[in-house]
Amino acid sequence: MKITRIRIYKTDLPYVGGVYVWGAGNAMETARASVVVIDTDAGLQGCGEFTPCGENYMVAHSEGVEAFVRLAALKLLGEDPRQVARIEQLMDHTVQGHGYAKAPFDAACWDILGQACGQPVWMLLGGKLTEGAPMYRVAPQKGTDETLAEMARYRADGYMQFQIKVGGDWAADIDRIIAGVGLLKSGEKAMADANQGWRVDNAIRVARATADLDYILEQPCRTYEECQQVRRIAQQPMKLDECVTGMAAAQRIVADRGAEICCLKLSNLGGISKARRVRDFLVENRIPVVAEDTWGGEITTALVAHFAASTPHEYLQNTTDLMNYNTRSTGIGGAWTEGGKLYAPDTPGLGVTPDFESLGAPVSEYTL
Amino acid sequence: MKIIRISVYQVDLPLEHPYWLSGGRLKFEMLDATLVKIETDAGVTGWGEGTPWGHTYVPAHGPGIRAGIETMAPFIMGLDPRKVLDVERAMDLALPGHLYAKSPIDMACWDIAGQTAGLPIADLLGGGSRTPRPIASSVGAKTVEETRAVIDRYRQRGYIAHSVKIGGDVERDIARVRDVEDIRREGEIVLYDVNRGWTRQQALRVMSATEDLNVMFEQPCETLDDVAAISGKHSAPVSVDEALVTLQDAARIARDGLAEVFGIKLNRVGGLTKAARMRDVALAHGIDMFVMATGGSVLADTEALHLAATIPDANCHAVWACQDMLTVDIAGGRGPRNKDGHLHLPETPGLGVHPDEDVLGDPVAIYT
Repeated sequence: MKITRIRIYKTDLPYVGGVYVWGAGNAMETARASVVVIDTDAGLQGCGEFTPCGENYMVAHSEGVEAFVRLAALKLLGEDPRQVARIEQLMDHTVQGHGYAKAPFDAACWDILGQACGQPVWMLLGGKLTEGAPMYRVAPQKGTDETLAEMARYRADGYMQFQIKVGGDWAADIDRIIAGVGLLKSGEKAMADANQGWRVDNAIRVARATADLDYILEQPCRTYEECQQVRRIAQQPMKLDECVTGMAAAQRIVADRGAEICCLKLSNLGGISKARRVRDFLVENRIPVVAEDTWGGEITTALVAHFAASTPHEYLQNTTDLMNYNTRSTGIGGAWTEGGKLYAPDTPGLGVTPDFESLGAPVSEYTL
Repeated sequence: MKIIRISVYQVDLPLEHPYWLSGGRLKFEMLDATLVKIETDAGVTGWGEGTPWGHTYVPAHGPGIRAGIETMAPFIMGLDPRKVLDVERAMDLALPGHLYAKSPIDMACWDIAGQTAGLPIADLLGGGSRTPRPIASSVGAKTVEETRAVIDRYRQRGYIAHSVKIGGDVERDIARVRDVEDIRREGEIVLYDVNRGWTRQQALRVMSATEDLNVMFEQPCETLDDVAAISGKHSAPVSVDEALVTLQDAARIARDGLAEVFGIKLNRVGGLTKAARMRDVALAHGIDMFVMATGGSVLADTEALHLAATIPDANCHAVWACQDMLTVDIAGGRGPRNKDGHLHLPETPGLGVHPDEDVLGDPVAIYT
């Protein structure tokens, strides 16, 4: 089987709640999705997606996929997409780093591999170890009353984990954490996510002021080292997110016992091929993971759902139904939610097809 | 003064001789250069260049530079280019990471700041030494005989500094180091550049077998962890090049004593503004420096020369002139050129050399 055509589509995904506010004063209204569609001489078609949470959230921006494909297209055309490790190696030899730009190509090849052998991606990843992945819900940074009202709505939908976005004014963040955690019912979990937004000293003050509360402190400061500095004093379990960039970071976390939970964002790790290795290593060392991505529509979420489904349930903290965060779509079909859980499709491949009507015309196209 | 227009040009710079790194692992024939022209409302125009060494050398590629500028351009439009720190901050907020895409913009801003102040960039940075800087050769040969021939060719052109590329085969590496030391003349500076080519055991074998020669190795292994792991087990001075990317890397190397020399490549570290901070960390810790462009035309060489001139003569080992390896000259012989193996700081305000626009062709993007 050969790759005969590669097309890149770009489409805007407006946030369903208007303005999504995170970290120290960042706001996003519209995310820009890059969708990769790969065609083969066998008639099979695979798709992948990369969507950043705004251009400046991580070392990843929406122009990067098109830039990468300019160098990679000629190498990928004619290759067998079912040989996903070979494709991964080929991409890594073509351009160093830029894992986020490679991730949608990796996903599209897994999609084709699954279709070629008539199995869903979760089966190829080792089987279903979680039937229905628990989801958390982000309560956006609005007024305290409004945030609490949203939590109540989500609870009615079956959610039992809530993320409180902090990382702005640390003093106000203390109040927000106290108010948010105070609303939890027995068995529910809260995570306070600063998205790297606090200075170390302020993070320590927040941790101290909330020391008697049961919640998970998430990525308080920018770097791993700064988070460890907070950890020397903070008693809360720590979840690391943005600084979990690959196997080297995971090895360091395991060696240092540097976090209780790691958030694995598929694109931040360079795609499912690399992310599954990091996940297996962390789980092997009994560090639970979160299965998610930076942002995305139906295609991203389908892959996240397969990743979550193939993670042992006792080490899967939660996942996210990213496709429900947008007013527009990248794909048709894919993962679905029920009772606060995310389910992966059982159809071959990713189980999602590109929504060509929403994607419009391709921004670039390469053929064999 | 305000930035009113940014024009981006793409130029192919063919190498006169194909070039191998790491014992033939990586081959390079053509450099993909991005030239950036920044125009201001005051009529002053600045030029920047970003030319990665191919796209497999470090995580930096030509299309990626142009993609990064696409994302950052709206955020720097209207800023005062003389306030380089404002521009730096705007770029860092608009696009995390991607340092190599920021360096050409930073360079063009320094060019404008220098022209406006009536000073060469080096003097604007605090004062530039007029002592000509030796140019390091690039001895990318394989056998002992070829190595001798290449070094001789460079000697005839006045070179006294040589970067001998090794790595790939332990026995051959030992033989080449021994032979070069045998023919080394008094006053010659020789750096054995491994370009990450050794594993830890290979590094220790060559470094032990050449211990009596008192020679220096550059970037013996892939990561700073690798360099740290072998550092207590050999006695050779080490220069860190590819693994020196951020100021945090510089701080770690200095604090943990991982290297005695920094190889600062301006495109990789994000331009003059960020490189100048690394210089200060180096000087504060008794660390010497090589300063180089990652690759590119006389513009990139000149940018590196300005930074090199701000380092005390005794602490600056050598620069590099990639211009000598190219078959295309975009500046019609102007700017600092190889004079008996040395580069002389230009006295012209700003960068001191601009390209011939008709050689560059039409811009591939214009932002206003």
